Amino acid sequence: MHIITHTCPDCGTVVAANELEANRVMKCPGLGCQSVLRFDDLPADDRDFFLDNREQYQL
Amino acid sequence: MKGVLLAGGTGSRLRPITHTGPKQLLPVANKPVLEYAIEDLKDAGITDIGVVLGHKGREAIQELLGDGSEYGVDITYIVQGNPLGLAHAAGCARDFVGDDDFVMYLGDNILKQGIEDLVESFQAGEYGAGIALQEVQNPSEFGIAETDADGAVTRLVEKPADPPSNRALIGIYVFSNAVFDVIEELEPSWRGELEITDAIQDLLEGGNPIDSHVVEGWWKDTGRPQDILDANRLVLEDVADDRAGEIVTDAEVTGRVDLAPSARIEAGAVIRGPVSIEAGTTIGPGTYVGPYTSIGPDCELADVHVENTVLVGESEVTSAETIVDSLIGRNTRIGSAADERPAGRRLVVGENSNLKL
Repeated sequence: MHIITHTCPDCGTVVAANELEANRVMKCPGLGCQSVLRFDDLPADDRDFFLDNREQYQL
Repeated sequence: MKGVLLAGGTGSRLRPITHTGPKQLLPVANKPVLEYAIEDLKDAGITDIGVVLGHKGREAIQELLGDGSEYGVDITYIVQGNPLGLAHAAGCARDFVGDDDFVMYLGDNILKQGIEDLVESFQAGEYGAGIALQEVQNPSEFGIAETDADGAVTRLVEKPADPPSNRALIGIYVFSNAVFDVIEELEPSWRGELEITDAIQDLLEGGNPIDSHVVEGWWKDTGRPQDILDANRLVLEDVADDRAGEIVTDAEVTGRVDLAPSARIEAGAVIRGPVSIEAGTTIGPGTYVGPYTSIGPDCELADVHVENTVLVGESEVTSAETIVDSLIGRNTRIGSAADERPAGRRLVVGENSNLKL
């Protein structure tokens, strides 16, 4: 499985794509970090792959 | 080498205790389970640790561990989100691990003797992975490794009907960087998860030797209430006698007692170690605290007899009853019903509770 993550540029917290896609726009889950993370922060290829294979990333 | 500490999961087998917090923060001998893993990693020379978080308890775990500086380590948080399996959790750590090898440690495990031997054994050869094993009585309930005479793994089988050995994978692994490419090629299992045993098997079939190390001493997966009590008992077996708190004259204290500085044992109380009593707790008159009991911070006990039990903390127990083999969650009140009419127990019990009256 291609595992896609994004790293918060401010605090370094790593967030899996399933979390980003579920929220689309979210406050960084790093405690005290005020950054806003977006599914659109992922490279276009990763976004497309995730959306084409979305069922793999769900329970 | 880096560490990847898994701290996700729902803790469903520990409900109702885990309705309000992650299982990895439950105390064993008054220390959160997760801290034992941090210490094991640090003792093995691993100070760069990624903590993988699920949906539950993210904030509580970050509040406890912070940036790791209090433990002498550097912590990066990795949010896995959906629990898509141990191999998925490892894969989420790829950017954090970079080109290093790494130890993956399930955060609800406790080992008596740490992981230094496992890491040294892995580093002594050119292995794709190293796995910690322990002999179990019920191998059909575990992932089982078949090994040759030198300890090299020849086959892994998940919950076999006809086990090739009784050596079970206990949830602590060392991986070379090669595992990430293997995980990229893995498909979810029938239960929709990326299985770490599949990743190790694929490493093996790809020509990467797999080291194994049989863990000496005890090991506990603290997934159920009885496991917490067992782990508490095992850790208290080695607790030091450190009576920093106040013991009033006419209190009777014997055995090894770890008494925090602001804890107090009052006259007429009887303590028989091994016992751990946290800060701010008062053991009042008429109380008996027996072996293998851990009492968390800010508790008040009076008249009760308690043994082989874990009180998480901030609780009041004043009933003249005997409580044994119990796990009591935070902010609990257990009082006396002796003067109540009609006579009988009064219970306010949360969902998924388990009582024997």
